[in-house]
Amino acid sequence: MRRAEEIAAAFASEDPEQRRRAVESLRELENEIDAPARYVLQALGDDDWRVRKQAIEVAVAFAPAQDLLTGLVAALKPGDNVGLRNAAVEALGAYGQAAVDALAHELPKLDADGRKLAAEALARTALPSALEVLRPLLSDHDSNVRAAALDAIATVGAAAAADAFDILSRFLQNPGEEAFVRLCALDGINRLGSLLPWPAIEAMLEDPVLERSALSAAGRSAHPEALPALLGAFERARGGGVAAVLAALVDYCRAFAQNHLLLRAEPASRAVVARLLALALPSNEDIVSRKAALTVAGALGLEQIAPIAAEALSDGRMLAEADESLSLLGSRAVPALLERAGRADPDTCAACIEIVTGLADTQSGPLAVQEIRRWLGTASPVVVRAALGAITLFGDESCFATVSAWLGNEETASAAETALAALAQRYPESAQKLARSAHTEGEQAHAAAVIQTALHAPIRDSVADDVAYLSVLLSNPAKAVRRAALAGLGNAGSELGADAAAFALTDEEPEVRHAAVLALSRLRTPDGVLPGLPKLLELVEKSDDQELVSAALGALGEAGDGRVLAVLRPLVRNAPPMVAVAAIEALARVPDARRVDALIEGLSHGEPEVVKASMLALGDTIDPRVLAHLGACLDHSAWDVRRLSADMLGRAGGESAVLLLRARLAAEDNPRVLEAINRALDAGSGMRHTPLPPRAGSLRPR
Amino acid sequence: MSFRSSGEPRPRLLSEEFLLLRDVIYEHAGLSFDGDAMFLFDRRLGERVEALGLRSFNDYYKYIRFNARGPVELEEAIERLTTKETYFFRQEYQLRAFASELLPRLALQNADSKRLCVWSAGCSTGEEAYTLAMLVRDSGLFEDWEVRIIGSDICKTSVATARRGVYQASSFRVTPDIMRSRYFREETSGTHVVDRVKQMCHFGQLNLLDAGRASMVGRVDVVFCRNVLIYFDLRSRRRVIDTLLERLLPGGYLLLGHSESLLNLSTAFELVHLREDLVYRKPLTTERWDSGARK
Repeated sequence: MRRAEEIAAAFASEDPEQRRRAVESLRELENEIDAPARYVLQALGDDDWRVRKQAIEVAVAFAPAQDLLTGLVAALKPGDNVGLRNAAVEALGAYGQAAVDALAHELPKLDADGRKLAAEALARTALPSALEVLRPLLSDHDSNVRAAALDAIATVGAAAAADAFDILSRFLQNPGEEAFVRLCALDGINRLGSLLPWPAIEAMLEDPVLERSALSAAGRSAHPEALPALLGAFERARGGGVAAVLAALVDYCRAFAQNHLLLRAEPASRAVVARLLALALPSNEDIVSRKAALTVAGALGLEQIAPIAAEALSDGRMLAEADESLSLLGSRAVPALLERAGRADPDTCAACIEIVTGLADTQSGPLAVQEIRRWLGTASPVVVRAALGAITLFGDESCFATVSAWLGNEETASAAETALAALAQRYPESAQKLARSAHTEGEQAHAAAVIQTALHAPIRDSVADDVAYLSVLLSNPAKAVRRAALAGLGNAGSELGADAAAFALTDEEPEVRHAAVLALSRLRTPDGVLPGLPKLLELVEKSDDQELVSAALGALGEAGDGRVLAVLRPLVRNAPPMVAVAAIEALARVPDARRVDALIEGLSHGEPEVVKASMLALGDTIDPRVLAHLGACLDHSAWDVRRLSADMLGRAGGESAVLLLRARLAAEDNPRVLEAINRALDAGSGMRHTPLPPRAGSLRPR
Repeated sequence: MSFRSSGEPRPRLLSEEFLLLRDVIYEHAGLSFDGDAMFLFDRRLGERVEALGLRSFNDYYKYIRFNARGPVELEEAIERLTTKETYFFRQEYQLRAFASELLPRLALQNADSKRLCVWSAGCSTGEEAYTLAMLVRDSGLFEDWEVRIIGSDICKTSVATARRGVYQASSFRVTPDIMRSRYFREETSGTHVVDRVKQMCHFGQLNLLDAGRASMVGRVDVVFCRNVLIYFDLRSRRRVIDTLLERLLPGGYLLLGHSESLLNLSTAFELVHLREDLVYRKPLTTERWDSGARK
């Protein structure tokens, strides 16, 4: 009782902060006071927006309380308190199917304003079942209600895109409809990301009410005639219109880039060029328009954008669009990138080198490499690794010494090995000469081991000579050389190296032991037997070193021998997570249909990481049981398992997957998982045509 | 051996690997990256994959999850993904509002205690914190006061850079000449913040989701948290805002980036209309009606 008095007193306070806190406390006091819903409803109509917002949060937390639901729907009936009606709409969205049912029942009793608000509330439920309640509102005599219903259908359409697009596009074609209502339909189609035919878009460009949204549709159309219209509109645009047309241009450019087409045939006017360059400058604080300007200018082939984009590579927020712009410019961006690299911080310099490498062809690549090599002497490891990447693709015979010099540096050894192996494969004779003349000490030994891994044995007079040389290297003081020697032994493929590789399992360095494991999985007798297999199986059975066991499991998977199934299967369900994941990844490579059962067992492991690994391994399996098991993972207690399950179901597609996803949509409360479910439903519906933002490597016009 | 026979200079990030890495970073630090960030992950973490001699981003993910050095590597990954570009006197209109309207109010409000504390939450490499210190000093309102400007960031290297207080040209794109001559000195290693400003500033590494560690900041009069919330999803933003509210003194101010607001995040702040900006204030209400109920 005392609580109720306190609440009543606080609600009567003139201080909005007191009232807000009183509302906030309702969640804690729900069981200590009678009919808390009446306080929530009272607060939803408060004069102060902070109190109303707080009340919405509480109303949502109380969902699906029946007395509150009734009060929220009743709030949509005629009344003077606009704040209350708007707050009720916001809260109703959280009541899901209960709200849809209640609103369907009450709709006939509401006035035009109430019906409009009901449409908004139905949109907020995001349930496909709302479509049927909204459909009759499309023939409402009040145009505001029709507009709200169209808007709601587009929102709900995320879960039922085909139905929503059908409704909206038929409405759009009705010439007798008011322009602003048709605009709602067009905006809805744009929000769904669906495509309209070009003639329909072109006609709407003439209509001043529809023009801006029609430009957005034109952007996604990728129709050749859309570009002049978009550029003209960009030149004429003022105020907020600039951003809207620019966004449409970005869509247009990306639609072309995805098809590996370029826009350079279309000359941009001076005014368009000047505007794009100005928007792309760092002085423009609006990141969205700056990014868009970079993309569009690159796609239009404006060379002046190259130095601006190269400069933007040092800003993490702009990185993707800067790279996109430079990549779309192609080889014409190279001088600006090399100039920028010469004075940039290490990360930016490395990014410049990587982009130059990606843009270069067999003619320009070697020239770029010459330029890049000049900096290597004083560069940081980040830059050296990027430069070695360029050499990997475009280095010539003169690069052997340069690359070998970086083998001894732990931070660059891996990149240097990759570059050296690529050089060896391009220039095998020089590489062979280098390997044959190498001593068993120093960088030459390391280089020789890498070359023996990259080329077919024998490098020397016989495989036995190769194995003998590499066996000596296993006593080299440098662990990187011992590791490389083991890789070389594995590549030699002869059983002659088996004893040396097995003994290397006693090496004090984990990376050498891992290399020994891999080598053992690659050795073969002349008749194809794996001499290292018993050793690897023994290791899995007896070793306590989880990292080594995991490496052995990986090697067993790589060996592709069906006999390992019996060893791997028991590990999937009960082994420690690291080992279980390795066993699952190995199982995925075993050519035996029984592996599917074993992988399904992995879904029962107590550790989410193991469940995820099993799901990923099952993802590419053609087996009718897999979909059901992936669907079951939508109810897993770990949110990241549910997230992965949603994405995998989206990728699988099909009616069953969509049904599973929709069922989970209603119960899910984790925003990351909800996002994934919506993404999956989008993918499953096949309706979305909005071009994707830049993805690594996807936009290169190579 | 770790080299790739594919001939690719380095491993490329696949979309599923991106989502796995995104999940683990979210789980650890509440940082939220949208699909656009895949490129950033590929570029910034690809370096780590290379440096560790791993064959793929999947191996990198497993390294983070299972290797003994995984937690350290996760910190490294977060550092590489969150380094912000910033510069002195950024978003000038907001700084004018701070200097011309908030500082005089705080000078009156705190006249008895003669203490002022400003927190730059997510200070990156320190430019914002030093800018605020310069504005406080330039106002002339806080002579003989105990003034503390606190800068915090999740990124260790950024904090180290902030402590050094030595900057290159890109940090000075909008710095007024008079401020540059007054508060910086040129040396061959770069442009140094002068000692009298450096002494006002204190930097530390802090994950804003870690409310326990945030309490080490103490109570503050103003929080600048500009362009930081964009890294968090809705749920984490609410937690960050709760932390900032907790750290603010009653009547203290919260300033967000120009495109950020507390809409749908919190109702606990009042909106204050200044001449040039809108800022948030922790209500002054001292007596809570429900104090008994909360005990």
